[in-house]
Amino acid sequence: MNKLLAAHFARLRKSRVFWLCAIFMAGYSLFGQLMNYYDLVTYGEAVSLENSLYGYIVFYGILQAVFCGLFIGTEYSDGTLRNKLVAGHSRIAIYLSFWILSAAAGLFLCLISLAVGVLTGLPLLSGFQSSPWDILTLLLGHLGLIAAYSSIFTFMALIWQNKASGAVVSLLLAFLLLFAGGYINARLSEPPVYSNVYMTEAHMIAEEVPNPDYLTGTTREVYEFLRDFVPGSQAIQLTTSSALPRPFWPLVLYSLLIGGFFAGWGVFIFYRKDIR
Amino acid sequence: MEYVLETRGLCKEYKHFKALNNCTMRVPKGAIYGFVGKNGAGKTTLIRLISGLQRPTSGDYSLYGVPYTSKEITRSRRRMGAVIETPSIYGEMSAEDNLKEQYRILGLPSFDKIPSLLETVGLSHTGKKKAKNFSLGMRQRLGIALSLAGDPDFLALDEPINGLDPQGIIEMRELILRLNQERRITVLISSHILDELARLATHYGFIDKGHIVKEISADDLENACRKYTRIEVSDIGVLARVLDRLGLEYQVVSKNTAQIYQATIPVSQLVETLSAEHCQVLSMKEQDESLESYYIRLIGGEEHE
Repeated sequence: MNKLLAAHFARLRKSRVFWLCAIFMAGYSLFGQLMNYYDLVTYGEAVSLENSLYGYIVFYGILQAVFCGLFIGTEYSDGTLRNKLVAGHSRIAIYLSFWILSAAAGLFLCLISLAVGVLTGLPLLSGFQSSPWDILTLLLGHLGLIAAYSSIFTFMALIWQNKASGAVVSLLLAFLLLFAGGYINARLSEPPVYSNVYMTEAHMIAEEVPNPDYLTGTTREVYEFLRDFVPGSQAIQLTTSSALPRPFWPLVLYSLLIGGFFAGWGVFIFYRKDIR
Repeated sequence: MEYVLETRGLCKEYKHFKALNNCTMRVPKGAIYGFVGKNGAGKTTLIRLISGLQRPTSGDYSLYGVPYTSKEITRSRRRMGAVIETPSIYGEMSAEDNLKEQYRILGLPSFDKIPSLLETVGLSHTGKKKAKNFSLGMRQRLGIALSLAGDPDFLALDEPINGLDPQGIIEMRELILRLNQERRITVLISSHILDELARLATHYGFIDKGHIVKEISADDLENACRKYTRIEVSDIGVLARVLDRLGLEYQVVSKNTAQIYQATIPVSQLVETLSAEHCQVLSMKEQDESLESYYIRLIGGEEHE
C-alpha cells in the first residue's frame, strides 16, 4: 500500500481541485476573522478569535465531497484505476489507500483553515477563551468527522463508476447531511413554551403557551440520537467549544462507526466490482 | 511449447448476457497473438478478466502457469502490461509525469529509464504538454509506455489502432513489432482491422459469441488460406454453366465476377468453351485468400456451437 500512497500523494500535490479546496478553506477563515475584527472596531466588543475559528467544519463535508468526487472519480474517468489493478495491487489495498488519502487531504484542509484562523486572529482579536482541554476535545470531534466524511465520500467515489454523476450525488449527499443536521438542531432547539402576548382593554397580558413543535418523549430521544449521529448535525454542534455536547465521546464513537461501516461496506462492494 | 496465457472454459456473464462462453485459448510465449472477432464477440471482456479488472463467472485461466485463483497471480500480473479500450492516463499530467506516477505505483525507485521509455514510444518531444491535449495516437503510445513501465514480458493491447490515422497505424505497427522482436515481449492484440493484424500476428485466435472458434499460427493460416482465380466475364450465367460442366468449385461474387477455387485451371479449355458460348473473358487473376476472407469463411453468419 505504501507504493499506492506514494503515488496518490504525489498526484495530490499537483491536484488543482485540492488546492482550490485549500484556498477556499483558508479564505473562509480569513474572511471570518476579518469580519470579527470589523465587529471589534465598529462595536468595540471584545471578540475571541474562536468566534468563527471552527466554523470551517460545517463546509468541510461539502469540500470533502467535491474533492473525493473529482480526485478519486478521475481514476474512473481517465481509466487509471486499471493501471493499479494490472500492476498487481489488491483491491483492498487500493480502496484503503484512497480512504487514507481522502482523510489526509481532509485533515490538511481543516489544518489550513485553523492555521489561517489562528495566525490572523491572534494579532487582530483577543486570544483563546476556551480551556486547552475543551479545544482538544473539540478538535478530536473534528478528527472523528474527518474519518466519517472521508469514508462516506471515498465510498461514493469508488462505487460510482461515472465521475460526473458520482461527484454530483456526493455533493447532494453532503448538502443533504448538512440540511438534515440543521433541521435536527433546529427542532431540538425549539423551546418547550413560548410567550403569547395579547392586549385587553386595560392590560397587556403575557402568558406562556406550550410549544406544539417541542419534541418530547421517544421522539425527542430519537432526535437527540440523530443530532449526535448524523455527521451534518455533529458538524453544526462542533463549530464552537462553548457548547460542547456532554457526554462528548458518543459523537466521536459514532463518527468512527460511520467511517468503519462505510469503509467495510465499500471494500466489500469494491472487491466484487467489475471494473470497466 | 510454453504459454504465457492459458484459458480453460472461461465464462463471463453480465446479468443475462454471456460475454464469454467456454472460452479456451493459449497464447504462446514470444508470439504476437492476433485476437480476432466482431464487436461484442468477447475480446475486451477476456482482456479485462486476465488483467484482474473482472472475475470470471466460471472456468479458469493462468498467467505464466499461475492459476488466477492463486495468491501468486498478482506477482504474475506484474509481468504483464495492458491497454484496455482507451489508454489509462491522467489527462491533466504530462507524459513524463504520467510515467512517474506509474513508476510510483510499481514501486520503482528511480525515474532514470523514463526518457528512454518516452523515446521508445516516440513521445520524448512532448515536454510539459498535458496528455489531454495529445492526439489519439500519442495517447495510445503513452498508454503503451505506461504498460511498459514495469518491464513486462506480456502485453495485452485492446484495439490499439482503432481511430488512428494511417501514419499512426504505421507507427503503432512498428512499435509493436519492435517490442516483440527487440524486447521479446509476447503481445496479445485484439482488433477487427484484419489487414493490419495480418501484417503483425504470428498466431491468431478467432472468437465469436464469446467462444474461440479457431486458433491457428500465421504459417498454418497461410497454408489453410485457399488460392483462387478471380475471373471477370461478360455473362456470368454462361460462366456458371461452364464451370459446373467442368466440375470446378467456384463462387459468384458479383454480376460478372466469380472466384474459382482450384489449384490449376484448364485456362485454354475454359476460355475456348466460354468463347464458343459468346461469353468474353474480361480479366483473370490468381489471388491468395486474405485473412479477411478466411475470417468470413470461418465466422460469417454461421453458428459455431
